[in-house]
Amino acid sequence: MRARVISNLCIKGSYYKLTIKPSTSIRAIAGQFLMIRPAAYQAFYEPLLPRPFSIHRLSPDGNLEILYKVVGKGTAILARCGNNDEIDFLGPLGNGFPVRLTKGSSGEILIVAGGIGVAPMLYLTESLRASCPEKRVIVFEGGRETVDLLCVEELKKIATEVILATQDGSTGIKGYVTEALEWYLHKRSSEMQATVYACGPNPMLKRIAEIVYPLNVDTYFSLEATMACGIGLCMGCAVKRKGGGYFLVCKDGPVFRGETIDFDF
Amino acid sequence: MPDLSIEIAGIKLRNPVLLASGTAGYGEDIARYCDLNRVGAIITKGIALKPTPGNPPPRICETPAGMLNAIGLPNVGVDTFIKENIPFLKKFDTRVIVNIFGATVDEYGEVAGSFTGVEGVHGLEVNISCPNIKEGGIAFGTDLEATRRVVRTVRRSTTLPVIIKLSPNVTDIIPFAMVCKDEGADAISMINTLLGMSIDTETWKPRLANITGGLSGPAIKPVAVRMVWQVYNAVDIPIIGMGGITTTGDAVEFFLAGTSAVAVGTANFLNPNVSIEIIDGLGRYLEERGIDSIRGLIGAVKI
Ligand SMILES: Cc1cc2nc3c(=O)[nH]c(=O)nc-3n(C[C@H](O)[C@H](O)[C@H](O)COP(=O)(O)OP(=O)(O)OC[C@H]3O[C@@H](n4cnc5c(N)ncnc54)[C@H](O)[C@@H]3O)c2cc1C
Ligand SMILES: Cc1cc2nc3c(=O)[nH]c(=O)nc-3n(C[C@H](O)[C@H](O)[C@H](O)COP(=O)(O)O)c2cc1C
Ligand code: FES
Repeated sequence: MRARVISNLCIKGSYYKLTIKPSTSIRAIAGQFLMIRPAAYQAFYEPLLPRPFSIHRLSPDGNLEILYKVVGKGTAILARCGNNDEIDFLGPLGNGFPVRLTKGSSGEILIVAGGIGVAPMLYLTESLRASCPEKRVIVFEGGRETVDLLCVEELKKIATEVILATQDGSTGIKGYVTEALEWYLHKRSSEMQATVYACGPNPMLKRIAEIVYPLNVDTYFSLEATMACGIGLCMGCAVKRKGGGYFLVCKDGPVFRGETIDFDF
Repeated sequence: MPDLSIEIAGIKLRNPVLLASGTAGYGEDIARYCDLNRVGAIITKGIALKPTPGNPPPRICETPAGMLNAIGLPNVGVDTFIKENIPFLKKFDTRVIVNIFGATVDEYGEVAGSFTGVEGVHGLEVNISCPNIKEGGIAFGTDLEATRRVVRTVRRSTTLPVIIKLSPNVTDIIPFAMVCKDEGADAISMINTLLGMSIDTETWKPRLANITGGLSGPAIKPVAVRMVWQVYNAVDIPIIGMGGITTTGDAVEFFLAGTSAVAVGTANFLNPNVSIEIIDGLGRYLEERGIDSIRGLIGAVKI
């Protein structure tokens, strides 16, 4: 599908927000992603493959927002796209986060975002707020330093509480976001129910899986993998499945129940 | 309208643009983006006797104008494939070529034999050139005697058209094409991926868990075109050409070098509808030049 760039702005540091208008209207749920290729660079094969990005938000006027961090070739080229440039994309792809939780359960919702993993979590927080208005929603956001904490003000407006962590201690708790989660979980009774939604680097997800293992907690993790196609053709985006075999992140995920993933890859 | 139809290995194709094995799965996933009724044929992801899980991740990495893959041929096994995947493919008015592989010569024969009488299968493509599995694969495709034994065994095991997929990882590919012809193969397809490797300069580790992988995409096109041209001039056997085909121009180049059909692989990952665009593009290319059939291009390079 084709889309036109409405705006593409540096928010801070190496973080950008891209807003595109698709040629036809799109409906998507939080946690779904797009495979993106700027049209102007296609003839050069550099980079060759499209890149996966979470849908950050859908605006009421039908625009799609992507929040991204420049880390290499593909994202550097994306950052160079200007207004009205054309972008080819596939999507929305993947399953997305489940947001209809059992009503009336005492559990709270814990959302954990590491670095650019926050990209799909604002929309997720909004969706959960709408689908489970009676539940407490606690957001844990972590980054290396203050500049790596995005969407904090927006999250504070909708979440019950936002707990921040930075590795250099410049904002919030000093340490990993998983330590903040651990600290929070230890304060409460281990019988208490909770649902954890997490997106971030795989080591972060692995640590969360370890932390919640003895507790009464459901986990939904959005996983990352190198992708070539994003639609189940190449079988390149495999992650190990507990008990043997593999999942394809693009097709079976990107959201998985934490206990189904073997993180020792 | 110029005539794009072609018959290869006794299989009548509506047009000469195929989907390459391993880049279109078993059809389901690509069908949402690409009208399978319009492609010349789909060559399915490799199938073996028993299900296999494939290699650990990371399985792919991008390289300049190409990619390395070490997927390791995950497959559902021949029984499941026939029961669950063929019925889906039968819904389309297209040709289905099943790509097969085995760990031993006998296994190749057995897999090939399993498709006897299976409705909806029009031919077999025999992968003797996968660089990513320990047994079978490339070990057969880079050894003339092993190639001979596999082709002979498969030929005896089936009445379906047999297409042998050759490895480019040899010094001289012509003898391999000759062996295929001698042993009764109906056509050859070439090229499979080129063995490659990439190292992360931060971690000093290979970028694939399998260490080495197969290179595909635009980067390998000149190698493929050269090999097609060599075989076309030396061996009288129809060729299905592939290796980096991404545009109509790329496909034309392969026909001029001597292929009777082409297959689109890695380019499906950039645009799953690209094969249709190439089919339309070929029609226009011929029309603009007043050429009435795709056959007018085959081997027509002016030397
Ligand atoms: C389902 C899914 C959703 C995603 N959503 C987003 C999103 O919303 N916003 C966003 O910014 N990114 C997101 N990503 C990650 C994004 O796809 C990669 O950052 C991007 O592909 C990198 O491309 P590049 O060409 O810039 O980097 P490359 O040139 O490919 O790589 C440059 C360097 O960055 C490293 N790198 C590559 N990919 C990643 C990665 N995923 N994480 C950390 N380091 C990496 C490489 O190892 C290399 O050292 C998502 C990934 C997936 C699978
Ligand atoms: C991800 C991937 C998976 C592949 N799987 C198979 C396979 O199962 N069997 C096979 O014979 N070839 C397989 N191939 C090789 C392709 O069919 C093709 O020969 C090769 O990629 C060159 O063409 P291309 O550059 O257009 O991709 C695979 C290629 C890729 C990139
Ligand atoms: S990215 Fe190709 S199968 Fe998932």
